[in-house]
Amino acid sequence: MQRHSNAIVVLGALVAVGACQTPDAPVRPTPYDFRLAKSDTVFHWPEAAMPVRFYAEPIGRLPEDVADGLRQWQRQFLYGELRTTVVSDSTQADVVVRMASPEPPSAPPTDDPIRLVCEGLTILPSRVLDGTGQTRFSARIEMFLSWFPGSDPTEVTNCLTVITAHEIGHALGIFGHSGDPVDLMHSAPSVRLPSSRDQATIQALYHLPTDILPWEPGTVP
Amino acid sequence: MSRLVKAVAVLAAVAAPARAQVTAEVLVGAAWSSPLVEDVIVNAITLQPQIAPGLTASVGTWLNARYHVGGRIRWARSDLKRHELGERTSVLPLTVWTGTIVFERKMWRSVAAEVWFGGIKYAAGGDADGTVFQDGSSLMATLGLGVRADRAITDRLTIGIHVGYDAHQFDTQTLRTAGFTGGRIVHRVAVSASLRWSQRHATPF
Repeated sequence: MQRHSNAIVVLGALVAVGACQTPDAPVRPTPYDFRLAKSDTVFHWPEAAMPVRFYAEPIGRLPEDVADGLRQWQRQFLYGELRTTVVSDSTQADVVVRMASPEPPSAPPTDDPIRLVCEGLTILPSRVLDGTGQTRFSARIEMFLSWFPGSDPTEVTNCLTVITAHEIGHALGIFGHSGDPVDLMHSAPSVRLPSSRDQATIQALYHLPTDILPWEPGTVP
Repeated sequence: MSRLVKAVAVLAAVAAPARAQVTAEVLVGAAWSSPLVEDVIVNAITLQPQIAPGLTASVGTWLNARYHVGGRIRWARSDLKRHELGERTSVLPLTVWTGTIVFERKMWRSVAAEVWFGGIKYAAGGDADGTVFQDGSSLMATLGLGVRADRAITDRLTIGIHVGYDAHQFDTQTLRTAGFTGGRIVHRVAVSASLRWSQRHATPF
């Protein structure tokens, strides 16, 4: 009898554990606008395009900033929605990142507040209908970084790190800006890492159907 | 959990004094797991390992004619899949290590029941950034029970079939950082074929 009751205790413990299903998903901040203005369309890199290939021109800390920025954005996901890689051949890249000004002054990054002594630009190619009737970018996405001559080298380094990460956010599909300066995707970013709202925004983006497909060689006439 | 420990202690206590008969066993099989995570981001999302082929090694000893105790290490590997809107997408390869202490009791003829407790550890393969394993995975407690049926094929060897169920609370640092609380109970069911070697005779005592 004692043995039977022991077995019942064990079974009871297992059933009790099994019954404790706890739906515990977090409440996330409300995303800001990430759609492409005017057309109100959505773009994100589809699963078929993973890993997204970035090329960084080997100048100054640009390759390092691109790798760090990609890692930070990729880490905003939980379910493997985004995978990225850095390639050494620009012709094999989905996104090409270049420095639009001379090589920036060399200085190690610091934790000092960000001063906007640099800027970035992400160029979205025109959209065309491909052979299957789907809207697709007509070329690679390009990003350009530049810095303001005469600026303090450390401030330039810090600024380029942040602006590179910000522009990567655009290249990944966040085509809008946040209205909150604590977000990396604010138009004048002052933080180094994506915020919880940046995270909620890019997560939401990658769970919507994409209206635009990326460029692929041979897909666009 | 304390009830389980108590139950295991009682089981061990009722066994007769050991007359050591060492056993070694390998099991080959497959395991199904319930989802590790359920979430809603625009759509409902679940994260679930595919059915995982597994290999188990075990050593133990018969305590008497009815009771056997052993240590068991199980390795299983499969793809972790994201399920969303009816589509399944590979996230990364996932290896699951399970180490347990197993108590076995013969029930009827060649049928035996098992209970076990131990730890489970997930190891993500490849680049885990952007997944729930990006900050690693700690050891999680697991407990389970199973049934096995064995048949002697020589004096020292038995073959058998083993069906086991276990449960653990899945949680990672990444999920906690993302705001998940409480963890999620994950259920696993494994079916294996076993080959057990006994030091003296396949049928003990």
